[in-house]
Amino acid sequence: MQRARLGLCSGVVALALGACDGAAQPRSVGLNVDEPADPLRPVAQRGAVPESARVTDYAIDAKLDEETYRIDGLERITFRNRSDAAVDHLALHLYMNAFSAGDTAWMKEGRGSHRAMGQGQQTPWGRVEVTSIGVVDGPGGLTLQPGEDPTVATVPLPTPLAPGERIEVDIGFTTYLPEVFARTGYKDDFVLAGQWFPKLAVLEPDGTWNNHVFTFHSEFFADFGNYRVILDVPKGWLVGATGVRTADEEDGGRRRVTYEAAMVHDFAWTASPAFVEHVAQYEGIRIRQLHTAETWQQAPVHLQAQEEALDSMQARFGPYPWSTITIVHPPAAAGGAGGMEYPTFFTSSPLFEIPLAAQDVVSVRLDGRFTTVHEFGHQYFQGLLASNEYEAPWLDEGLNTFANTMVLDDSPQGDWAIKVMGHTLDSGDLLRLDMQRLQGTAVVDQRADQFAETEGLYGRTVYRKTAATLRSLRNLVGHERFDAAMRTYAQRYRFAHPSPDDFIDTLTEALQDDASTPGVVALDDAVALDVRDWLHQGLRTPRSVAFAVRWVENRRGQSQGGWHRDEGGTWSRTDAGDPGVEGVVVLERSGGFVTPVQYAIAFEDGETLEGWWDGVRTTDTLLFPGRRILSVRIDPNRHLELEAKRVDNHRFALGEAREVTTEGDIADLAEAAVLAALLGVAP
Amino acid sequence: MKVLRTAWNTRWVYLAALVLTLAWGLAASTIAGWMTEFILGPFGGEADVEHALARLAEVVTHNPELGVGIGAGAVLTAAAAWLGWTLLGGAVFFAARGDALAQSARGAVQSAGPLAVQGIVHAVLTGLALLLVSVVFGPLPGVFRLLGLLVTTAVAVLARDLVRAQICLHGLDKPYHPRATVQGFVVAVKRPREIAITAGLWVLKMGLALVLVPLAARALGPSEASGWLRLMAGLGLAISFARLAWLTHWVPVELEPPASAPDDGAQTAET
Ligand SMILES: [Zn+2]
Repeated sequence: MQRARLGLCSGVVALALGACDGAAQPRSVGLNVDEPADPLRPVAQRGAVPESARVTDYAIDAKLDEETYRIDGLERITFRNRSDAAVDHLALHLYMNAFSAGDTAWMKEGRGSHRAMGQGQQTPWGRVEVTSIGVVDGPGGLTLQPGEDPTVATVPLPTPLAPGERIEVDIGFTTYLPEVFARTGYKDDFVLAGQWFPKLAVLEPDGTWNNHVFTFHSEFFADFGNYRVILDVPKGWLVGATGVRTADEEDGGRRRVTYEAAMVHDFAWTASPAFVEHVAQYEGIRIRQLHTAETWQQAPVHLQAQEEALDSMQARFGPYPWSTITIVHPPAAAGGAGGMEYPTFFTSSPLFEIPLAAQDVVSVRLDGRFTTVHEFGHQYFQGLLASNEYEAPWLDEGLNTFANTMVLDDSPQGDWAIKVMGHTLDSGDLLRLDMQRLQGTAVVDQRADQFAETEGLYGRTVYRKTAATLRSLRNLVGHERFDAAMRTYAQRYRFAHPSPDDFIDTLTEALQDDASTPGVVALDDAVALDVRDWLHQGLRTPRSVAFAVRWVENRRGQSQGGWHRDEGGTWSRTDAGDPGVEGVVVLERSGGFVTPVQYAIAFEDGETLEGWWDGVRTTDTLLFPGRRILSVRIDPNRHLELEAKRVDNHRFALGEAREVTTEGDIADLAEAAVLAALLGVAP
Repeated sequence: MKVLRTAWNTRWVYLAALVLTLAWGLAASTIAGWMTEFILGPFGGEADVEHALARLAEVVTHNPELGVGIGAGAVLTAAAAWLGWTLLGGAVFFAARGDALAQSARGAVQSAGPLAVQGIVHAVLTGLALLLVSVVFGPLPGVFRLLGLLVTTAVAVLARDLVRAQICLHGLDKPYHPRATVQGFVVAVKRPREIAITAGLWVLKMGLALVLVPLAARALGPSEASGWLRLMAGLGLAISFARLAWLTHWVPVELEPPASAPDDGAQTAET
């Protein structure tokens, strides 16, 4: 894979080249990459985009008042009825209203704070007001009918819109940005506008609107379309937005910037006079970072993470179709805007910098660079495979988390998240620890608002249990086979709205050995895995994976000696020779999740036998006449990352000398801690 | 040479301290090993070196009492050690001037009260000084604050050594009066050479103390760390003893009444 790595240019170099405006830090760092003309990459690179996926276009003209953080806008929505039925009304998202009062659906769940950040003091509330609405060239104004929550509304149409017809609607609106604490809003001279304009919900094929209120954990479900947005901001402010910049004019004290985006389902933008811009290029994709003075030196690290994410995700899930990526790094005071995804545009978080001297002791990768990997990942799992975040949040957060671990795995540094003195915790290790916290209480495939927002249950279930489930299945059926199935899913549902059943059906079909045994993967001659049932257990039940080696011993072999009757009915006695030994193993499935699992049996003669157990019964006994067993291991290749407790997966045969690795480690650590305490306070 | 001889004088006290230290460490190691064995029962032998951290994390998160036990052990050790070292610290001074082991022990026991009280005063004063420095240096860049804290710590270490040496070797008229420690700080501040040497040796010892747990972490898996741990603990103790022994060469200093232009040159202890 070829890629341009020319963007790593230090600020010092940029200063020397005069690429700054004379301020303390440069205004622009990195390459001078032209803005692409087309918001989509060339067909040869991105593949075809189905015309049928284009449903809703927006043309918006919006003006920011930087004193009051108010946006006055006028939008024209072009909507195509691609359903099979006539529609008599439109359904609107007015998602900024989530922040309009303490009793909105969002606030009821969030209680005025998000990721430990509370509402601002100055402007705690945000809202959007529709000031006018009417059909273009149509009869007079339309009426907005409020929905169950201020974040949704409906607009009855004067005449039903027949299948295949299109309609243009003009909507005037005013958006009042809150002080940012949950992704969207302002702080000082920084503005991040997400969920800021009235937007159409999704019309299902049967002609009903899927118009969910904005809840704490879900904000995306919308149709694809083209956007043309003019943003009027104060002169001297730098703007970043979804899509490509196609015009940029200054007029008096104002600046009017035009952005155009193609085949996206949302549009977000940011503006600030304090931005430092860092631009790079990757296979014709313009990667633009907007930093402030606090973080601009971190740009190359984020760029590297971004490039690794592109390397991995394009190879696994198909080409990234758009020609730009904009990464916004909000200033610390606006930290609430960090870590959020919008089409071709996302916000990251600052790097967690460990002092150089301490890096040999501890290093972490789960910092801002991981946020970049994660939020970029949403360009696929949400931006491109636009599932319903309200009804099935795991289809974007969970699949994305899975993909993020693959990015780490594919990167030159390999999959490690935390290093302590040369020992690493990888993604699988961390997921396993999460599964322990879940204790088998969580069902993945639920609506976003069905999760109790306590003890991080949502994140652990939707993000991590999904990832652990997929990674476990991938380990069981084989990486190549699973990766091919995921590729099939990603290709099939580009620019579409996949449902949980679509995902399960696609994997079931793509993983099976052959069509004669649908959905079945043979693991060896006797043991097979039923993909649909397996995914059902992992995603739709709270069953947990738990195995143990229940018993291992070497008992006296079965004697052949004694009195036996021959065919003629005559009794005769044979002498008992040495009965020898018989190895006995009892495998136990203590968890409710029924899955095949591997075992490995180490014999005294040096051989290690690996095999599969179907795990259907709760215990099974394996006998090995004539062979003495040293130890037995269940899941020796660490396939089942869903299994929280592995310590009981290994057992020495009764009476066999046991190594004492874990005891030894803990004893050493205790001795070190005590000696350190003694020496620390020594005279 | 004289310093070396003085240090050599402390060998029996050092050996006693070393035996106590290693025995304590061994006890902790044995108890932790038993606890783990008891908790894991027939399991836990998996030598999965590549996932050593995960294996430990799993055992400790499933059995938090193990982590709590080890943490509590270390804290209790530190508390008990503070008392123990207060006594032993005294014994080093007696031994350094040539007292026999039994005599040194007797001397340390006799000085225990003042040593403990001045030790507490010293801990409080040091805490206050560090707080003051971090507040005063707060607005400055981090490196200055770090430097300020380091210098303060170095002065505090020397002050404590001075007061202890004075109590053991020369006695104080009012051995329980906090002024002695205050005066220790005042005298210490004026002795940059001694500060440098004391601080150097102290930092070396602390460095060894700090490296022990990472070292044990490094050796997770089948490799054994305990030999190295014990060696480094012994080395750290030796450095501590050398520091105290060296100090006996330039006490007494006038800790009471308030110092009047203390002598700049090193003074020889009366032996
Ligand atoms: Zn996410």
